[in-house]
Amino acid sequence: MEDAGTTVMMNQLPFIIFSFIAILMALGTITARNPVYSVLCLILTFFALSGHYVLLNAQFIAVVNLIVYAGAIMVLFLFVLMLLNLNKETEPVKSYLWQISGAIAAGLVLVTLAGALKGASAYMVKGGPEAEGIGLVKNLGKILFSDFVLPFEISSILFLAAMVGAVFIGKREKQEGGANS
Amino acid sequence: MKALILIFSGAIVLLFAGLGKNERKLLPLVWLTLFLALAMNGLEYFGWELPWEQQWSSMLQFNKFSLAFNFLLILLALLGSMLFVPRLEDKGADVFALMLFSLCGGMLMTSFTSFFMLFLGLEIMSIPLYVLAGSRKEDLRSNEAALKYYLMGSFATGILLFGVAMVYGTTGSFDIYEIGLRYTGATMLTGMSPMAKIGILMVMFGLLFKIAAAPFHFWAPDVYTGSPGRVTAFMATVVKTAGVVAMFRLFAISFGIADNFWGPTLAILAALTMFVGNLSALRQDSFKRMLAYSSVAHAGYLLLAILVHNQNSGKALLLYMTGYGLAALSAFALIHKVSREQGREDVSAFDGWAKRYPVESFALLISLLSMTGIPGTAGFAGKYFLFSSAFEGYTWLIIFALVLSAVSVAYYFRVIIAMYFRDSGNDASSVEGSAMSVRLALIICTALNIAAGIAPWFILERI
Repeated sequence: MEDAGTTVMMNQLPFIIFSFIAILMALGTITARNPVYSVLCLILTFFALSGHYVLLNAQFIAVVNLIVYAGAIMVLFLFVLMLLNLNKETEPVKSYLWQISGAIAAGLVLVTLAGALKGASAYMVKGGPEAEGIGLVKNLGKILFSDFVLPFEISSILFLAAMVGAVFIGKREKQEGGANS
Repeated sequence: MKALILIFSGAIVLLFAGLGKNERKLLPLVWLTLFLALAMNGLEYFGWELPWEQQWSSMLQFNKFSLAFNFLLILLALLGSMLFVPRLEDKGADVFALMLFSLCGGMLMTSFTSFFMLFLGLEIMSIPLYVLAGSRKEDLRSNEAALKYYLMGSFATGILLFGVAMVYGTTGSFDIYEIGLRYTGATMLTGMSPMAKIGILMVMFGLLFKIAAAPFHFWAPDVYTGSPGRVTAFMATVVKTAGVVAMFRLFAISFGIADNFWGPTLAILAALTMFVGNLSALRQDSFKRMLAYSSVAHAGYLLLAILVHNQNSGKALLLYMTGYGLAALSAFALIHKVSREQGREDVSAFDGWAKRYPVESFALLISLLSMTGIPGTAGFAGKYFLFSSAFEGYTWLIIFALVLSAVSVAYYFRVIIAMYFRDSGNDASSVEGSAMSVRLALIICTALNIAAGIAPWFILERI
């Protein structure tokens, strides 16, 4: 019994560490006064989540998560924050009533979620995280281009639409006489 | 699926056509695309299917139900693109292309069989809309609308995804039929697990946001008022239809077995939506804002179809959406006209309209009567079939809905009274005729509305 207990502990130890980091850093993200610290905390949260993905045998998603979110998007965030030049004066002030009611509402959601998920048993999927090589790029590619080829292709509409939208927003307006900037 | 591909290709062709300088040809190209798609959808409806379309039935399923709703969506988009004469600065190809992309998303949402396609459809529909809401870049209210819609919308999507994850966690499947089977089995054996329940609720809240039902409607008045007219009309008709149909599909097929769990919640939310929508609309001076609240109220009536979720309520939903969509399109188009002429959108801007614009006033009269639910219009037929399908299960809710429909007469008729019984200071010389396409679309909307009111069976039998 002693041995079994320690193996469970050993397997759960990385999970606990990653979760601890993720929660701590997520709290840091929302409590940090300086937005740059906020973004840095968010990056560390993403790192911890990537750790979770690795534990779930989803190496590809872990790497993509790091590259896309922690890499590209967060660098973009940092640049925007530095360019925006946020400081205390421009920070919107919310009254205490709003803060308290927000905290109560979010707390209730948390209690509900925790209550619902306590002791919940997930449906066991065939070929779950324990299966051999489940999260490798090879298997992912195979399934992406066979079973899921339609969603894969249709997501191209999504990206095209997002791209057109981004260009549309960024496009300079035609100036018509005397308008400022 | 062919209609979907056609619209997508049309949007791409449009983007390339926008590179040229000839901006006058863009709008006819949109009409052509949508018209062809409408014809294609009709052919698909009458059974023209290519062999390769069957193999993706686990992702998208184009049956009579979804094709009938797709037909409605394309028709509304076509009429919408005819009703709004673009201003000079709105003539770029990108606006029309984004609208077509959004329509593609809406069509996915009526025909999905997998949560993947639901999510993709929702995002394809929403992301162009976030941009379109802010497409009048120099207008502060349009900017506000875009930002508000974007922030709230992405938050709602997050909640929806959280729900989807829980549903997947309890069933191990993304297929809506499979989920329905698993839940049926689970309910018989042990009852729904709390995780499944919270998943269903979160999916419900995410979708309720999209159709602007209370208490998730707070974005709707500001976004509807701030967005350019064409986008508002698109949101109130196409997006609302797609959202309600997606919810209907999901709750009828996947979660239908658990309706004694989510039914009471949804019934209370429906009552709240009708109440808030109708009573807030009473207090508005701006006609556009009034219609925004009335569209919230209509979302409440539409939730009745989801509560009942059987064959009859699906039919009634199609009829109701036809009536509401046609009416809302012409109403928003005429608000657009008024605000361009007089620079204001309040009810008094319509004073003495009937003398100056007999055709337009008649179209607005019919659409307002239809929204109120006066016999002879599609709105009445839709309300009648919708309410009677839900009467047995939810008598109290139907009575509540009837009372609030009576209340809605008060604000719809304010506009009618202004049009027909008030005099404006202006004389008849300040008449500015509508463009041919606008007039044609108004006539089509009105004619279809009356036709559907007189012979609702023609639409009801489509599903």
